[in-house]
Amino acid sequence: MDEAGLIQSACKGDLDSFNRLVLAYQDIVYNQAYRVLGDGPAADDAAQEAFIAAYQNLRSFRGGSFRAWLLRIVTNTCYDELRRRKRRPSVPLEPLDDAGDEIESPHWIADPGELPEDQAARAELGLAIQRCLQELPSEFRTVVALVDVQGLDYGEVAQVIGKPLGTVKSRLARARVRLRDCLQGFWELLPSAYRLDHEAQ
Amino acid sequence: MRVTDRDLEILSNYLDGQLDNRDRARLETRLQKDPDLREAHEQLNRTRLVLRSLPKMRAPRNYTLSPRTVPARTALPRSYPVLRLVTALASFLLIFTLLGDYLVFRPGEMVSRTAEQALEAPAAVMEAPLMATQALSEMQALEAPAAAETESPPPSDMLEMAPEAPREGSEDLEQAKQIPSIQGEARASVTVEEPTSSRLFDQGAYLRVVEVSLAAIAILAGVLAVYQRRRLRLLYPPK
Repeated sequence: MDEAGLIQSACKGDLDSFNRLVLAYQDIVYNQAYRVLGDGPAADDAAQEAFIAAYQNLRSFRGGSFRAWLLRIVTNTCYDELRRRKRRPSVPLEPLDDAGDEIESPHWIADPGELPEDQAARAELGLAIQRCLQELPSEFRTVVALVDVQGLDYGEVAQVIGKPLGTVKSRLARARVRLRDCLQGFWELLPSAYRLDHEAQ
Repeated sequence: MRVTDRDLEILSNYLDGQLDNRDRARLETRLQKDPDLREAHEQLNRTRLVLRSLPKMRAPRNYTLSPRTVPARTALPRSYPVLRLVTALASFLLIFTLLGDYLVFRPGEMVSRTAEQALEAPAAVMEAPLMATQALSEMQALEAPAAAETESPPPSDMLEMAPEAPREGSEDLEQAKQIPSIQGEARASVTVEEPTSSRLFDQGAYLRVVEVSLAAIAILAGVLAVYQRRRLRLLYPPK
């Protein structure tokens, strides 16, 4: 995919070119929105809004990393949503299973390739991490999601959040320390094989 | 040894390979010697690995855009930000000019100053003609009997007095001759005062021109910016 060519065509109003970019980046954008907001439907809305905003403001893209530019837009969209939530707090409605119990996070379970035990372990771990992530201040959460979940380097993260490299390093270290403290209670809950597997890395 | 926040930040950077060779070597030496630091390193590393093990979630749907769903390009003309900037700058300068104008040419002070100058200058001018007319009337009064004398010869006692009369009259005449020079001095003093007031007037007038120009620019640019925005809303009404 010639990214620069697609961007150029999209700038001239070619929606098909832009849609090819959307398909290439939609998972990354959705992931970031989910990690920052911690809520599937809200992340879905934020991702859609971010792509619309990206299309409308494509002319303001001045080169560099398109991924970082998109992540910056979706991060700002998430911050807007978080601010809106602060102004108007609401209780989300969780989907119910057949027995009428709440399904806290159906996205964690919806992975058809895994065994039930692995799914359960993964779901547990995922829930624990997501809960700990939600306890972080949003600016720490954004940085740790960008580095450890999305795999961006420090320079790109600095570009996304619009802060110097030193701020990225300090926020990341503090976020990791807080997550370490938060996850202390969950280490024992994790399947031993899973722990050993990762400790071996 | 106690692990500080700075140590934790260095450890975090170390895990991501962000330390230079010297710092990395120093940290590795410390890690070999300090069990607390080693423990902190292990815990941070485990946290980092767990975070990195999180599954990459797939978007629940495609976010591709269609011409129907995408709002029309609502980009404002390129001149819009320039007009906004011009409006803001002109308004800002206008406020400063008005403030400066008020501080330098305070209405009360200006009126009293000009009134004082206006009163002082004409007073000097007014006094001089008054003195001149008085002297002239005296002169005429003195010249009148002299004229009468030429028609009918005066009595002898009057004749004795006669030579003195023109003498007094000539003194007054000299005084009267001096009057225009006093008037001239008064005029000179007025012309000395004039440049200050005229300079103030010039500066005031100049400021008024600047103020009116700035106000006109601000209004014009502002109206144009509002017009551009309104026009865009009419073409592409918000959903």
